[in-house]
Amino acid sequence: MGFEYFHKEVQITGKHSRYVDEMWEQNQIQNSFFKRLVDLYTIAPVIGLRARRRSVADYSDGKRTVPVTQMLELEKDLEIIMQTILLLDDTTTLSVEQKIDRAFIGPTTEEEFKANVNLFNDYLRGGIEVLYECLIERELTISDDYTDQRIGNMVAIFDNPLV
Amino acid sequence: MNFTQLKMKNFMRYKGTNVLNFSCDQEKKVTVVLGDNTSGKTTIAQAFRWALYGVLIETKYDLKNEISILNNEILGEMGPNDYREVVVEIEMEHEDKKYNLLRKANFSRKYPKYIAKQEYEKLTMRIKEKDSGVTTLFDNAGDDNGKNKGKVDDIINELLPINLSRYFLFDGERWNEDKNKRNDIKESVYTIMGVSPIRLMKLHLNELGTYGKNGVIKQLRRRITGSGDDYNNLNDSLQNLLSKIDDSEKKIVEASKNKLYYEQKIADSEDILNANKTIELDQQKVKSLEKDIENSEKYMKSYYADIVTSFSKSYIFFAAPLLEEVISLLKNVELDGKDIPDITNDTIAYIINNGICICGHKVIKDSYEYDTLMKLKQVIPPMAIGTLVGNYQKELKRWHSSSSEIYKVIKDKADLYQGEKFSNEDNENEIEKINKRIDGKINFQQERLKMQSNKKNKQIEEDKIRKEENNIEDYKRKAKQLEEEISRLQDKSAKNAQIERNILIAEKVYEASSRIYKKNETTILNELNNIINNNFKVMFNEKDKYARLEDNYDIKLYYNKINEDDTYSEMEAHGLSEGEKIAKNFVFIVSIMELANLKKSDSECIAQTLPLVLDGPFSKLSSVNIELISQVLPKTADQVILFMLDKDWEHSKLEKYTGAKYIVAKEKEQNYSKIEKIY
Repeated sequence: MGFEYFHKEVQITGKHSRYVDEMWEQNQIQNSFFKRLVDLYTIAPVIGLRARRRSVADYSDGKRTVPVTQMLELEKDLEIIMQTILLLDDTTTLSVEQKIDRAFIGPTTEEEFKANVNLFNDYLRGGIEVLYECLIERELTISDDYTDQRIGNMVAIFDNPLV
Repeated sequence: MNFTQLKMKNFMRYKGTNVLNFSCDQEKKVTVVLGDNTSGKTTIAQAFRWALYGVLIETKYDLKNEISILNNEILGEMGPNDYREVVVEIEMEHEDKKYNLLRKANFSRKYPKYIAKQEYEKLTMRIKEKDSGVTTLFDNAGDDNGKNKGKVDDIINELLPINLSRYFLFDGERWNEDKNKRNDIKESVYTIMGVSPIRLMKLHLNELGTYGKNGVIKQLRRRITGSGDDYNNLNDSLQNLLSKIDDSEKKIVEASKNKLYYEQKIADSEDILNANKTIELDQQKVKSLEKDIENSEKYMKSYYADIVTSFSKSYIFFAAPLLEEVISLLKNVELDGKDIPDITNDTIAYIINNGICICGHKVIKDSYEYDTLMKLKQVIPPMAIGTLVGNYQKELKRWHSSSSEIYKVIKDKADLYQGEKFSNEDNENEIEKINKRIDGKINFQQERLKMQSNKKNKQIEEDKIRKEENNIEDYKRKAKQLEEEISRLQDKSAKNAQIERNILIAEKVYEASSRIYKKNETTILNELNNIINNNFKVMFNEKDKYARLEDNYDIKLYYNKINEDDTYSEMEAHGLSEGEKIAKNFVFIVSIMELANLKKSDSECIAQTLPLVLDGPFSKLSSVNIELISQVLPKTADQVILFMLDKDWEHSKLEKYTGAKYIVAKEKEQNYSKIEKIY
């Protein structure tokens, strides 16, 4: 009540921003896996949750900022993702009911709000790492149907259970 | 020089031909022509003037433009178609030459009026060398070739300068003039001095106008303006830019040369590569394949973009399996229990605000009922949780169903992309094969490599050219600005240097000429004054008065006044009598003549000895003066020709100096005059 997710710009720093740079170049779709940065921002936490991968922020060189305007466009979908994370995250001792509460009633305190946001960002960063591994680091194999590494890896990630 | 003869034909009052032979005797050098007033003595002087200079002077009887030189009698005899001529002939001797000057004017008559119309005038001179007898004829209008035009005038001016004619050819009417115009005197002195050219130069350089303001030097000074430093700085900057432009242009030339070289090389390579006819088809095939590859690449780009666009939505796909997890999570949770049918947040708010429950029980703040309601408020969301979860699940399901769509699109595009890629690879292989075939035939590979390299180099040179061209544009723009600034200063500065030089030269010349002139002028004026003084003493009986030529060329008469303390004061004599005026002029004439004669021997001088032709009203002078003056005259010139009234002749006592004597008489009842020789 009163706490709104995705109304504040997000900064991706350190190694995660460097990973981002390798997967996305502004206005250079031929050099990117994602059209916009917000797309990566949306996909990565899902991947992170799928792969149960979280990562803390790294504050070394590099910074990428997701513009609020873009986030607001996908606000609804991002909320779904947030709720999913809040429901499925196992890192706390919360009961299911409590998870449901935090997912659907929403945070009642600032602390809760921050905790939820941090959780989301942890999965975001984890997801960035996974994506980086799957799209950039992965080498094509014989079982890949495609000879273009980018395309091959994009298709491959769809097939990857990620667990 | 001497006049030997004057011959007049139909000249003014002398009908027919009249001749005067002048005495050239060294002892008896005076020729006298006696006659009454109006008899025609003045006319003889006119005849001289007309013959020598083609001019007449005004007398008190005739205005210059009304004077007709054709004798009236002759005019009267003329019919409408008649022509008569007026001739004046003067013979002169000078050194070893004899000069015969002839001026002739032809007249018609504006019949029946007594008006003569001059048709033409001719001036000739015949010069005879006394020794050789060789005679040369000059026509003042020029000979057949147009040469020697004005030659006669030149000779006359050398022998008898017109500037001095007012003195050696002195007319009667001018005796009364009180003012020998300063400039006339000056001019005559200058002519005698023979430094007129220098004087003119001095004038021109620094003496024209008040304080010489119209002179060359001052004019030049007025033209100097502007400063040197600004000009120099701007000029330096300009030179800098110009040399930069130069450099750039040189670079362009260089690069153009290089570019040309590479183009040639490329063309050579192309020629070699194109040389063989049989590979032409292969070349075409290659071109076609290259085109295909180009197109493929376009498609591939397009497909890839589509893939990325879809991939950007892939959270839907990736979230789908999570839905199952959520479902299984929520399966065992009793969500409905939390719901009180149709009780919403607003309901609770309503109850609390009204302070009464639906069951009728009062709800007081901080009471048990109040706290329960508040807690309930917290757990009742705007919507029922079940609804929320339901919605959420619905959304996830939706995602799930679209996820395969995304996957499909990506796969399809990826396949297409791959297809193009394979196709390109095939084409490139094909091209390579064909090129190998071509290369193999005539070993083009090296050539191909060379051509690639030269294409690169050509591009580099083109880039250089473009860069320098841009630079030049920039420099030219700046240079134009500078040039405009400089031209405002430059005119002044370049001219300045020249002007300064010119001023220096002009000043030096002026200094030098001034020195020379001053020296000459002072000398001459002193001489002249001495002469004047002496002559005055001799020619006049005035012991108390004397004449002097002032520095400003005024001739003044002075007398000495005795002061009370027995000292003398110089006083200018005013209110001169007729006689005194005449005397004053006379003295001057004579003095000039004497000076001129003195200067004859000076090499600086161009003056000649001049004969003296005097038409003098000696009657105005006292007999004593006449005598005195007359005594001076023979000393003044080598030859004296005098016109006198009868009555003055006796007083002159010139008989002993007279070598020829004539009388001019007007024929009784006739309108013309005749000269008769006495001896």
